[in-house]
Amino acid sequence: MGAERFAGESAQNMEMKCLCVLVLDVSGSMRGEKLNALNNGVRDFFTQIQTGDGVAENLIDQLEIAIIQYDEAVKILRDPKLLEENETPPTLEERGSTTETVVAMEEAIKLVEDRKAFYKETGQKYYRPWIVLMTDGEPYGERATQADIDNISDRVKRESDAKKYMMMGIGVGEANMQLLAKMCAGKALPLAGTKFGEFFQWLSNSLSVVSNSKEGEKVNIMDGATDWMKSFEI
Amino acid sequence: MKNLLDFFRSSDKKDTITTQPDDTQDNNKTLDSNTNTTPNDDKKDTAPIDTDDAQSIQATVSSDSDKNAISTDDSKNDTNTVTDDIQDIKDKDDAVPATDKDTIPETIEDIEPTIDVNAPDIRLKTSIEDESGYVVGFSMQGRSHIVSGIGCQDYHAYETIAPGWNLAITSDGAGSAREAERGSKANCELAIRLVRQLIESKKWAENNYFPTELEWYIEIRNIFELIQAIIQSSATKQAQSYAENKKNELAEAEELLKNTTNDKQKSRLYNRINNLKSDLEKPLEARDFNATLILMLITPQGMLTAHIGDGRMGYLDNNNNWKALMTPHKGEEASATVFIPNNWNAQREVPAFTMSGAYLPEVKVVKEKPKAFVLMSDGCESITWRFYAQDKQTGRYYDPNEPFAGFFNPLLDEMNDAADKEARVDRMIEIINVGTTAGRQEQDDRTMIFGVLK
Repeated sequence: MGAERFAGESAQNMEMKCLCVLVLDVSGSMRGEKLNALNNGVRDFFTQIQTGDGVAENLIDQLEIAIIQYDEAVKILRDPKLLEENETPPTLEERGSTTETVVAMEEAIKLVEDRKAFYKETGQKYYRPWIVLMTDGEPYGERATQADIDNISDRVKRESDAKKYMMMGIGVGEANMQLLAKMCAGKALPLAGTKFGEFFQWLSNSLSVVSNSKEGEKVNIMDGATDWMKSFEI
Repeated sequence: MKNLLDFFRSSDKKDTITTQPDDTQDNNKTLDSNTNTTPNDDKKDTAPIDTDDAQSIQATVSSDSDKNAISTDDSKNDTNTVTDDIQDIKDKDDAVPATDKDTIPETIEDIEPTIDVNAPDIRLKTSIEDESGYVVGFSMQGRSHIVSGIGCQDYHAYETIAPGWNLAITSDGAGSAREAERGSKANCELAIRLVRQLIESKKWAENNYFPTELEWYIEIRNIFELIQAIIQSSATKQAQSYAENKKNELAEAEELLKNTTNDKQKSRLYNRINNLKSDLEKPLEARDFNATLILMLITPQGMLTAHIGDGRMGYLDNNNNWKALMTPHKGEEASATVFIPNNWNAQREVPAFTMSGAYLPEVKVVKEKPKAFVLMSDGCESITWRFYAQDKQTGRYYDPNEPFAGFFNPLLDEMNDAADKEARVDRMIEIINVGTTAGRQEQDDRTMIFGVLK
């Protein structure tokens, strides 16, 4: 570049946190190829961040990841925290069960609120958290009523408008995209086949862009999204 | 007498990304002299605010008070109950409207220009030198804006108000504001005019009078409120012609679309049309000009400072310690802040409103002449400041708010050794742009004013 070396340097400052919660459907219909692809996708996601592959070097010091799996019951597999160097993600397993999406979303929102409270207690600054919901099929389990679905949809719309978090729904296979979009304040996209790998690549790139952004600027995270999306028409 | 509102009416030309600086500071200006070379310039710079205008602005402000009423915040769990009215939390997660502001050629081949993220557009450069010292300043485009094709939204100014009385100003336009770059420039130009009027009316320079903190607070707060009111009023007046311009642009784009066959061009036109349509749904308002404001008035007896928004300001004292002069106003989310057009002055609660523990505006009066001084927008913060550390014992994170000597002392050496004032400002730009690891990763617009008094 020809620029003369500068003798000065910057101070060491801590990194600002960026929280991403994965909410993953492990109901019976995910069995087989889909679940394998999903497990591999999450593994690749971890690797990309640990090795700085296609993401900012400091993302590993900023990105806190939480993993929630759900079928008829919700289980937090990984609490929100930074990645360790050699850490591998927990393996998702299905057991032929139903899909209680509404309860899973409520748990995820609570997890985000608790983590934000922790940040505030300790004086930490943070970017707006992301909740990424991945599901196939209908969000009904045995327990969710239409009222429950309407309530969660309203709540997500209200809270994402108030910038408390960013909710995004990824529909796998024969997911009910319209309902997913309603529950995720309009932010739902269909996954092409089992292209989880591509999706997680896009996710880590996007988080990298967000964590390096300053406000006001509209972050273009849709670049590359077409890799894994079916062309979706309403 | 020139109407104050005239100077920031929208121009007739369409939005275009300028590839040259849209303003160049007069390089012949010395640190400490009035160089208004033409009679017209004199009139423009020294005309006081038309009192009729001021009164009509006051009338507008009081009748608008209902519109500015705060809506209740339903997020009771948050410790900061700041609503959109006060704090413009800048959106990071919205998908970007492709801001293709280039005129679209009719040729078939659509050649994408190569983007060099290390070659920012420099909106404005300042370099002054004389026997009393030197000052350098720049406002340059951020890397994210280079990629998305948006110009630099920062602005700055360095102006001699009276012999020995120099005013340094920085303003950072909000990325979410449609007319951010005009907002930042307006803040700077209005501040210069009003501070000049203050000094002249009160004869502070004439009498070598150094005000008390109370006097300074009252006067500069009054000025900030007046800037806010002028912007509010101007936005309202321009709303109609703004909408008409957008309608014309929309009609042109739609016409162009009919005659375009190239797919890439078509999709860019679709994007542009959608943006214009959503622009038309929102009439022009004060928040479209959202920008911060940081200023330092350097006088023979010391420094007077004030700010609203984020960014940093500091000085080198006579013991060679670098010290901070302001607490940036930061919101709950990383990088939320407050702007001059926001409602930071509405009375709504006791005790008075603060952000990051600081009043709005926050002022300081330091009866000591600095050896050096610095003002910056937050784009330069990660490069030059200690601003985010963890207390090992309590685990708490906090803002040490220290200019980093490991950056500023080597910078000072290089600035002192510069061959001439052109080399000095160019080298400073290079140092901030690519001289450190943090600098090479920084995405935001960057402004810095750095001065040394001999």
